[in-house]
Amino acid sequence: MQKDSPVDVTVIGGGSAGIAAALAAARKGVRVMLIERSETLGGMSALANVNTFCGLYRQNEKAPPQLANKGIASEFAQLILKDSELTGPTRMGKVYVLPHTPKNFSKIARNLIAAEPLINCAFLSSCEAIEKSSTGYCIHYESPQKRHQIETKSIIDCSANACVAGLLGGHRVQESSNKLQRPSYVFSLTGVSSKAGSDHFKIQLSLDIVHAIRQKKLPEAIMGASLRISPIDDLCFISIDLEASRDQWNPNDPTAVASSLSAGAKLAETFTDFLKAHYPAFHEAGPIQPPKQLGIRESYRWVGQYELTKEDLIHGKSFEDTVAFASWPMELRETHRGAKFTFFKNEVASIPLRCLTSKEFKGIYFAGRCISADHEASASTRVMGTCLATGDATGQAAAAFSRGISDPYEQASMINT
Amino acid sequence: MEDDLPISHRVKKAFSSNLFELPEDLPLDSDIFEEGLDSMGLMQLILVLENEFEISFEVNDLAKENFQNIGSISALVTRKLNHLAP
Repeated sequence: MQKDSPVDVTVIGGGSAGIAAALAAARKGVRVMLIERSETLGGMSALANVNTFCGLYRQNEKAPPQLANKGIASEFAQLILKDSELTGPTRMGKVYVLPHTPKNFSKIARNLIAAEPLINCAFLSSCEAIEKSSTGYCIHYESPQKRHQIETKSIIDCSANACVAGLLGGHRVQESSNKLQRPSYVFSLTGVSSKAGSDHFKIQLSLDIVHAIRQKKLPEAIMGASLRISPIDDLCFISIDLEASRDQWNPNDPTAVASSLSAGAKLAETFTDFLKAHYPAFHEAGPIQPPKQLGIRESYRWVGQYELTKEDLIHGKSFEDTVAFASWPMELRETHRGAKFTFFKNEVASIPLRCLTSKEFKGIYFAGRCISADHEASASTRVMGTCLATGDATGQAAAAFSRGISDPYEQASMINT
Repeated sequence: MEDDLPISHRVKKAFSSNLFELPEDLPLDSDIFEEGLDSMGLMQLILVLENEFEISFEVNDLAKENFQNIGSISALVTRKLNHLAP
């Protein structure tokens, strides 16, 4: 058992929320440990090929794009743009998104984290237990070589699955199987002509897919497939939403996840063969590059001091302790056939610090996908741009907590939104 | 009765409750791709319409022009319904 040097803030999970949380805390001058179970930063982007940044811009497609959040979210937007040949975000349907490549996002995150001497990272490491201690919490985690123990004043759960609630006995909930957001299988192809990226091509392809399904040339499960050509490195990303054992779907059941992953791989093969056979733009396409894991959209979430609701987002409820803004419409994918979008009345909606703060445990925060929000609201707040914003806010709040400020309203007043 | 409403009203209602809310006063000839319909949504819309009106589109129906606005969709749906009528 190795005892690591104690820290002020420990961040569990190195996805967009965890990256922002670690950066924000370290920039406030406190010592940070970031524990990530995979070998890389980037979370769903790196592991499941999420290739568009959603939730970075305000909901107003009729005006020029405007960032929804200051701080780390806008820093990332600028860095991603700088690394690409894009001059700004693109419109996808009714909203602005920033196309990016998973590799690039991980690289930007790695460089920013490396520039902060107060952050230590443990990769390929998973939390085994958390207990209360005299200084705050003691986390037991396992790396490939040994077991570790680290003392921390505060923890930010960016696990996307409220795993800290699971280990500490906090209140966490998961939606019923039939309503849970369907997972996605996103793979990429090289050597696809940029013609496949045009709106005209994509619309014709959609019509052809419906036709091919009717003729039983494609399985019904391909309905809802979409593609995007990355402007950065010419990769073609293809996304297929999965039915995932309908009423038994459970993202925490490894057998269900494995069988969905293999169903996705089979669909990817069938669809790629179809594309290569029918469209010149795909004649030179290289072999399928599969994702490392399924794109999970919803699993456990915390029940915190406040639960953000669908109505709060639609009507733009204001809060005294607002620390971040949601701007992505509620995008429900309860079936594999497509999304239902619900837009807000305003361009953004407020997220209060209380829905990022534990009601049972002092110094426990959550950001990203597992914040305290109902099923519909989390269909908005789960996207990467908003995850960066909630990560940023909790990093600052946890830093304040480790310096003795524990009231969420006082913490919120110190956070620059 | 739901079935007594004009076809265009039912098309718009089915669209709004399954994809996203269209503006109340959206003219029948307004391009719904401009309103935010994309290629993914188009596939979904086809299924939604088939379910709502109990019709089935054929190859020749699957052209973008037919799905360009609420007016053109309603015309297509009406043709399909008339074709089905005894």
